[in-house]
Amino acid sequence: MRPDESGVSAVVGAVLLLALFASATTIYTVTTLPEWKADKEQVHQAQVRAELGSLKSDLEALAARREAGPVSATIPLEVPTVPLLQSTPAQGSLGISGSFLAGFSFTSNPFLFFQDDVAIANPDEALGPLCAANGKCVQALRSLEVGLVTTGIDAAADEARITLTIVDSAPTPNTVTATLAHRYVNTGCAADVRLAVGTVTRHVAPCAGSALGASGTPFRVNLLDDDYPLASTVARLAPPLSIQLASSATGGNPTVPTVAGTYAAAFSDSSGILRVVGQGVPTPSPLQPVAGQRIVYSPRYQAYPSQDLVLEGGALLVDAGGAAQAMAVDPSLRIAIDSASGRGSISWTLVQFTGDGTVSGSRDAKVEVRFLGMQDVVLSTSDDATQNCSPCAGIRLTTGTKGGWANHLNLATLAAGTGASATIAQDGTSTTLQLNSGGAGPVTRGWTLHIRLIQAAVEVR
Amino acid sequence: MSHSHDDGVSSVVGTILMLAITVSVFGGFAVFALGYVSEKDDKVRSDLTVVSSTNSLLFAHKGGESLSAGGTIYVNVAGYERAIPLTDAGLAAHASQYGLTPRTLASLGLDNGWTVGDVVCIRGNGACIYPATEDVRGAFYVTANTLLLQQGDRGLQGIPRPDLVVTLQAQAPPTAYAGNSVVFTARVSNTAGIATSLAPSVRFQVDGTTLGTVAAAGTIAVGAHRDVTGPAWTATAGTHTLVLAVDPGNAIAEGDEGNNQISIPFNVGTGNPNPPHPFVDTNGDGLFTPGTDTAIPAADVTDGVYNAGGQGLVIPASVGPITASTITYTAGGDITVAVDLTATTNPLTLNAGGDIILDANTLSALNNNNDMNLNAGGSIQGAGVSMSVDGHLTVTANGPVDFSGGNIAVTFANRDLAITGASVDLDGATLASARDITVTASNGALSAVGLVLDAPGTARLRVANGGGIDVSGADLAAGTLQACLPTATTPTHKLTLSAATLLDDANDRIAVRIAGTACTQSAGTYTNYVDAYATHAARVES
Repeated sequence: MRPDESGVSAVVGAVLLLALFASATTIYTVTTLPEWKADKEQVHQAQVRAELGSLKSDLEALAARREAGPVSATIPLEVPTVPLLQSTPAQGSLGISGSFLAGFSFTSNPFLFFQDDVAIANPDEALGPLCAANGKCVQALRSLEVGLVTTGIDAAADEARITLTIVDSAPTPNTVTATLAHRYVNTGCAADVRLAVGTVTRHVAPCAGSALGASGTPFRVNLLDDDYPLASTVARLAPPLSIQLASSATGGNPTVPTVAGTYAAAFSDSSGILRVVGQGVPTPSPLQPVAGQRIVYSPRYQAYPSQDLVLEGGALLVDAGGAAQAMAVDPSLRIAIDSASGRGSISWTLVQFTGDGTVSGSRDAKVEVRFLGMQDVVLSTSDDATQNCSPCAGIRLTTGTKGGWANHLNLATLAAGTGASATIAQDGTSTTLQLNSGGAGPVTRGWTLHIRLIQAAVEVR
Repeated sequence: MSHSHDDGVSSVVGTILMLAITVSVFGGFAVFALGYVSEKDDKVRSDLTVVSSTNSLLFAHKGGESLSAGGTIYVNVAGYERAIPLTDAGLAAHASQYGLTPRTLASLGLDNGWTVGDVVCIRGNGACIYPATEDVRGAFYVTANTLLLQQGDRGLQGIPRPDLVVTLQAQAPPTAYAGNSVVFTARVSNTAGIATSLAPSVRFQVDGTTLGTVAAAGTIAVGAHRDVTGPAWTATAGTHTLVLAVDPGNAIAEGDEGNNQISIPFNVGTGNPNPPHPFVDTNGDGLFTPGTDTAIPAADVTDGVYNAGGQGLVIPASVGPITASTITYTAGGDITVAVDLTATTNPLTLNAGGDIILDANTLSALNNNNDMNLNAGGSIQGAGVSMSVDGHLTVTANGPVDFSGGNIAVTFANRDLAITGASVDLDGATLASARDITVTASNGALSAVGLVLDAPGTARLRVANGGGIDVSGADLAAGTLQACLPTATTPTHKLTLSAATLLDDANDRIAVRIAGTACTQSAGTYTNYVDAYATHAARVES
């Protein structure tokens, strides 16, 4: 007798099995596929980070060689899919977006001069001769500001003055002398200031309404302003130059005037580096604010966190949204405190991008960067013997990734052990690195900043 | 018989085949997927980085997925491992256990998990788990049994223990001589683990004899040290071995008990050339040997007068300069003076039955008509000495006299300078007198190479017997310069003037008195003399 198979359906069995298979496959897909996608997207993010990081270092190498380039990077905007199981690939965009602004400010405290980061104790020896042991000398004097604080000038015989002597390196050295005299002139003015070069004496400021101030108030004059014959004379000298500044005063009836001189100078050394020393930054500032653009990669990942990568100011940052930002590829920034001299130093390479272009979709994007120019500036703040210069200097970064910069600057200052000598603050739009002296932590008497500014044109296509 | 078309079809076989295929496919996927999912459980897709410098150790999140708070940071402090659970309670317990500033997840920036931009400061200034001064040698972050960050080496497991090491910090006096009371100071350092629970002691042994065991002033923290000074030891001449042992009774459990002892060989000399006092030199070696020589209170010689009887007298440099109205030192043996002597009113006199030994020092006899007399039964060894005399200077020795490189001046008017020795060495010296200078070598040569001589009166360079006079390269300025040689027939009795400058004034004259014939030989040695003769009308008397 044959068994009764009337209730058995091979078709139903097969359908049930297929349903079971489909259910299992669905569960597996839902739970495992995101992991696969996240893996692929993480690899993609790392690839983009590496490409943009290489672009940063390639540009700095290009600048070091003073070559126009270009250098480029190819960024795949589309993430490879998981075969068979993922229908829609994750994509992203790359383009120029937003701005990066770096501004600089300096102390107005009294100062001492420096030669190759070594303080010159006697201000009267300031600037001369500026040929240090490493052979770097003053090659071109761009500006030379002097200021004078005088008191007690109230008689015709009274005079406070700054004497400038420049000796060049011609076979028969040329010597240029100039005297900035602050004296009383009985023509209705409380005081008059005259610049004497050789036998020629000119009034630096008009008598009436002089902004140079009366007795007891400070004034500043750039001796190399085109208004005076000194500038054209200095331009004809053969570098390197030896420069001597001295302040003195003579007085008569009834009070001998006192004088306190201050100086600031900008000059190029034999390495072509612009050096700025003195009280504040000479006018106009040789270091203008850096206003550049940002190269931003914005992914739209399906499983891995979509975090922007931003190439700006010489660094690559990660922007996870809100305050969640970090430095992905560090900028060329070195912060150190020399415990022997008590001076802090910062060496920082900033990149200023200008350009345009945005690409999104599935194809690869190409970003091309050309080197336009470079400027090296060394700024030395005063050596603050009282350790009370706060702030000695400040660097303010205004950018959408200010949090990432703040994060990195915190790491850098912690690593350098600056203590309260370097503080980082954020406001609504900016991060500011403030350089102080004194305070908790190591004894810091002043700061020297070496800023390398690289200008580059960028095109995204 | 009819045949159905599905005779070869078996629904059972078909079902079994389909079932087998389904099970195989599903099973394969299941095995793969479940394995994959299992593998993925602990995978972290975060960019975590260690930032380390001499001032700090930091863990930073620089991109990727956020991590939930939790996990454990293991820190190697002074060689031992400490676990820090990343919870508020764990952080508080850790801070309490090790006396640290309490931290919370919020103060470390982890209150919302560990997200992009968050930095955990393990060591450094600011809101860090450990201060920058802590001896943190490594750190690890482990979460869900996965090691995510690693910096440095792991510390030792188990209970941390101190490790004591002893070194010799000081010895007083630094150079020991026989008879000295010597004191050793040991330095005990705790190099690892935790502070000692007791004040460790140090045992001092010399040549196997225990001098004593001395406890430190207190316990010693990790990285700290204490100095322990042992009992005095009376030095004996020869080679010895000092053994310092810290915690000799093992009262303190240490991580390493095998590094608690050091052996230091050292030597003790027989006599001290510069003891802190003058002494009567009984054995005549110029060195102070306790038990043999007799120490003298410094005041006994600083008053300017001392008689050592038949023994020697040594005034070492440690006594310092002596200034007195009169200075008279007398000794049957040698007189050794290593200090400056100044007689302010009366003569300065050294009378030695043996030698007079001067250590490139300064002898001064001030005030008008204040003489200086140096009388030695033996030699006078005064290379580099400086003598300034207001009266007459008389130096007499039965043996050789050596004032080479010295500077000797008689400054007052009508006073003379006289030096007599068996032989006289004035190489490179300067002699100046207000009147006459007489240098006599009674039984040997007179060597005055490079001598600078200045006498307005008569300068006599005399050799009585046995040698010649060599003033090569000298600058001889005198009203009258007499070089006196004995009657002899040997070439050694000659006057050598090579490259000398004889006279400085046209009115000066030179007289070379030669009793024999030797001086007239030796061609070439008269070159400058002839020049001087031609220029200044010098003459030779023979």
